[in-house]
Amino acid sequence: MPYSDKVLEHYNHPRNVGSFSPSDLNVGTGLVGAPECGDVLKLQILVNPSTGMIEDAKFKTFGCGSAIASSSLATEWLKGKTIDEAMDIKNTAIVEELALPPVKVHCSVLAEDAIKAAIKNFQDKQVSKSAKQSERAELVGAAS
Amino acid sequence: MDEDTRVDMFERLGLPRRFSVDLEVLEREYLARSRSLHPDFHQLGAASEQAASLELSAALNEAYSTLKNPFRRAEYLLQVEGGPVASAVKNIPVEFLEEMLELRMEIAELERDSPEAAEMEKKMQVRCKALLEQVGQQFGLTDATRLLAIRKLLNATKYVENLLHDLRAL
Repeated sequence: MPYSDKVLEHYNHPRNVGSFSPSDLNVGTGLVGAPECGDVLKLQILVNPSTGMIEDAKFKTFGCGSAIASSSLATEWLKGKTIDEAMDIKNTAIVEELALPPVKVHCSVLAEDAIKAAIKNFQDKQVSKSAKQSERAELVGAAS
Repeated sequence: MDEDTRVDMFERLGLPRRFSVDLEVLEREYLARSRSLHPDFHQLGAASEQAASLELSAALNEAYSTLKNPFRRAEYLLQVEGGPVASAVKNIPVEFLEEMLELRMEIAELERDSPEAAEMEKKMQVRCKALLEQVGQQFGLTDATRLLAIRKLLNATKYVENLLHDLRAL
């Protein structure tokens, strides 16, 4: 089955390949796999905590051309979006944009799963950060 | 005829339905059966007989190539025993995915036919073999969780198989 021009374009010139430090509190990391084809996708977002805006996104993937193209497109779409807007990115939009055939739909699902996982990871980090901060505030309060 | 195309692959080759297969016996059974089914032997027969032998021959070849490869054999046996499909077990351990991604990056840096590539290929083959040995052990058990355990092992094997595939495509 031939790949669409858009898939080939992303495959030959993938955008935003790379990674951020996973220990950065403003970074959310999503690592997901598609066992039926042995694909792995790691997608990371860098969020500005005061605006909730995704300032940058990066990915690394081990998979077929459609998996690479889906991840590349997802990182492009993520940049400049708020967390809430990013939650609304649907795999069907990726399928449409890249003209993925039915057998490759799971690649777009993988990208959507990775976005959700990255956002969840970022949010979990923020919760534990504020928990630590209030803990510290209590300690300070108790000491004074 | 319809009945015949639904025979399971082990039966088609006269083998017991189990994971462990003697490859010599498989080879022998395949050759004997493919000779008697070969379309050339049926050229003078009726058109329906020719079509039937062609169909049986294709099914035999499919059974042979599936059972010869331990990974594909295990996938087939799991399916016949009603085990879960690959996509049904999504929660792959994160450490494993991380490791697969790292190995993939390492492999991408290797040079074709280099000693490092050969060493990596050997390591991955050993790993694949070890996973399939565990699959074999699980197939020998009778407890209810074995099918899920086999599915997890086969999903992991698929990742390692893909790494091997990448190594060969360097």
